[in-house]
Amino acid sequence: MRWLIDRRLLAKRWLTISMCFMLLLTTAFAQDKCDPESTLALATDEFNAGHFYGLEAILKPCISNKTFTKEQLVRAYQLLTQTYLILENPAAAEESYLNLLSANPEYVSNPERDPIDVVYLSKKFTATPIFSWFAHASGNITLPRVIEDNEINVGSRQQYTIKPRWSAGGGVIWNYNDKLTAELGLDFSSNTFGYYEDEIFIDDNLTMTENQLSLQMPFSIKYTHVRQGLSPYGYAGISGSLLLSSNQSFLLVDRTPGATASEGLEQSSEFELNNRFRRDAINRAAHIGAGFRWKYKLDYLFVDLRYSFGLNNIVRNDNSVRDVNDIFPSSVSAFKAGYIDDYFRLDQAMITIGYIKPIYKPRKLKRARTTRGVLKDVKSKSNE
Amino acid sequence: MNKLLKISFILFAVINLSNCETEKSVGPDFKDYFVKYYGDAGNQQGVDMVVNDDATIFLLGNTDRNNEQRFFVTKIDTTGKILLKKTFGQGGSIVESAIDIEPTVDGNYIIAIQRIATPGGDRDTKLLLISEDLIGLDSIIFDNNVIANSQGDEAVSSVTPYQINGEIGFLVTGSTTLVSTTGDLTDPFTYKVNQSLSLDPFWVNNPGNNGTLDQGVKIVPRQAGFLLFLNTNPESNASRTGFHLQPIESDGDATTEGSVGFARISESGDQEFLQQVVSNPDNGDYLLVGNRVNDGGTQVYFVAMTNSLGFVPAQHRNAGNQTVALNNLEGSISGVSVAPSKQTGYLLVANQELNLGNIMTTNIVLARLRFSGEVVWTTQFGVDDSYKAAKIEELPNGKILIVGTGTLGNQEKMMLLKVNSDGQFLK
Repeated sequence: MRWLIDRRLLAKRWLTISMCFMLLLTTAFAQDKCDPESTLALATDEFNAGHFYGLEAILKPCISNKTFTKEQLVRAYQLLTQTYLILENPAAAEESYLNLLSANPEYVSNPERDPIDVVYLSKKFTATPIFSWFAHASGNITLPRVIEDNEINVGSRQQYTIKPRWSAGGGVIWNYNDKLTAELGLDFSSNTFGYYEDEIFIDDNLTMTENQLSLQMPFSIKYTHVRQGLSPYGYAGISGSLLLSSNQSFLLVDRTPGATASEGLEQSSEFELNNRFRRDAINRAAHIGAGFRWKYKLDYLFVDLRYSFGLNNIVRNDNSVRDVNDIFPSSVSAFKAGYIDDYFRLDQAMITIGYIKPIYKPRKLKRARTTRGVLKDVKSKSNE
Repeated sequence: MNKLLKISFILFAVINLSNCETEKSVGPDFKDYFVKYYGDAGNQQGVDMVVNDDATIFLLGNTDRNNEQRFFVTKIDTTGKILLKKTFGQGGSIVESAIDIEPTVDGNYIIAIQRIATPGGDRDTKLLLISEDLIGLDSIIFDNNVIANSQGDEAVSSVTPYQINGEIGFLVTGSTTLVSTTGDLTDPFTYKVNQSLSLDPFWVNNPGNNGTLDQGVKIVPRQAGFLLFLNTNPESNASRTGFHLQPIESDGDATTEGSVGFARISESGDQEFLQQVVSNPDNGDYLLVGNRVNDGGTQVYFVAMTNSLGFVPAQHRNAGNQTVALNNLEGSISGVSVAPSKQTGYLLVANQELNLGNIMTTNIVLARLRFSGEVVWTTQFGVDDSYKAAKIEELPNGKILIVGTGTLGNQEKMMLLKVNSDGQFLK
């Protein structure tokens, strides 16, 4: 009887040694030649065979070597998460699930596909981005909205004209949740608007073009209707802008009529001025906008339309007629071209294309999300 | 509590940031100070203005359009808005240039015009009476035969409405080439015209001073008789032209008032040319502005002549400060117009000619003077082109109006400047 026991013990030892040897061989093989698909197949077989303890050793080398594709990495961590849950090692299971989310931040556990304990575990985690970055380029038109009409050439007819320009910038998005976000941007903007005054003393006309460069800082609250494919959104907000430069160019055409058409004379005068000192440096605006975003891999592309309402008069009243020199205060534009700024706010319409880069952050939630949906799904499955 | 504070702060910030400026909050500053151009096609020059008690302003200008030279009156409010405008003059080959506009005692306006009836011909004097609605009421042309049956060139300088002992009429003065002394170039002339624009034949007068180049500038009524202010270079005074006055009797004859007869007012030692005479309604002073000319160029010469003190130069209010030192401004500076200020002292406007190498520019110089004639401040208006003042007035609220001529592009336009009591385009 004793020898029988000794033989059984001996056999067990041999078995253990053989298994360890095989494991070592497998590990060595895996370390040397990590064939991702073979490794995953072996790991899946081992898992299905109930050999949970060796699973980590099978998968780790490929994970360490970074030979898995993202999709393979997700499958590997799925296996590891399930394994650790079975082995009642919740800490390791959570770590594996976090790694899974890092590999695919958009991974969502599915009761139909995943074991219920993994689904439960998933409710403790999220990879939803807290912050996202965005960058965009825009085409814009600038529209002066007149508060007070000022004129020098009494009796003429005036109108503003628009010219397309551009802006570019970026910013950060704070995701309150999937639908509601707050965005803070910083844009470098080039804006232009024109002014045309006709029937100046019957025959003359004046064309003025103003070019501005500014830094704009829009802050928006955005609501996105999240859908597959294109997700529409709308937003509203306020913005401040810092005027960096402003220049005006003038073209005044004088027509002196003669007794006959051939005796008439046409002359023009043209000049440019820096009018930055006639503009408020810091200006405010409120805006509304709407657009669509489109999922591109893990990021987004978007297109939107925005209209910005200038809130303040951008013309410095004190400088509207005079130049900076107090001794010789005449405004060149006023005296030479008969131009003075109306008091106006600057509106802006923009069409924008951009790119959003979510900063996914897999993390454990302080409070797990409800599992009510999961139970409902499981129940309905059971009833079937 | 913390949350409440945060929400309150955010709400406060949002409300402040989204506060919208409107017409009410911005304020129409451009009505308190401005530069405005008035006119028509072609070239227009601002000549004179009248500020009325009802806060309307009459601007007088000349226009050259399609080679037709006429004159126009624009009635505006104190914000510069046109209320009425009308162009007068026959046009065609007849050249009419307005010189002076004055309100009459019965609420109308009299305009003095230099008129040339035939191309290249001599100048005549025309008077036009218009209503406050710019409707022409009456006019008269004094041809070259008024003073004598002879040809001559008349350059009218001013017209002055008067009312003495219930008699209403107009006094006209200027210069004529119909001279009383052989060898003279011009003598002053004076007309007295009644309310119906009929000439008083006994008054048609050439005071006949003994200078070679005499010019009546302004004739003003006094308690007894009149005063003629004129430019002349009497032979007795080394041929120096200067501001002079000539008391005139009620029948138009030159006379001596008290111990003072024909007298020289300006005494700079150089030549002085009188441009404008203004009566100060507050104290009866006569404010005389013109130029002092010597080899060093042209400077503003200004005399505040107290009516009560007689005509002794040393007793002028600004004795010692009659050559106005406009802060050592460069160029040649000609005094154009002066106005008494309700605030303090006088407002004076001059034209500064500067040679900038290849171009000549003219700027407008505005100055406030103390009663003593010292300069308080000066400001200049103009931008490397031709900007000329013609008349200055002060509004009851202390704002200053200057009418003149500006260059807009390549054309001349009548220009009106409105600045604050410090001469700035500020409220």
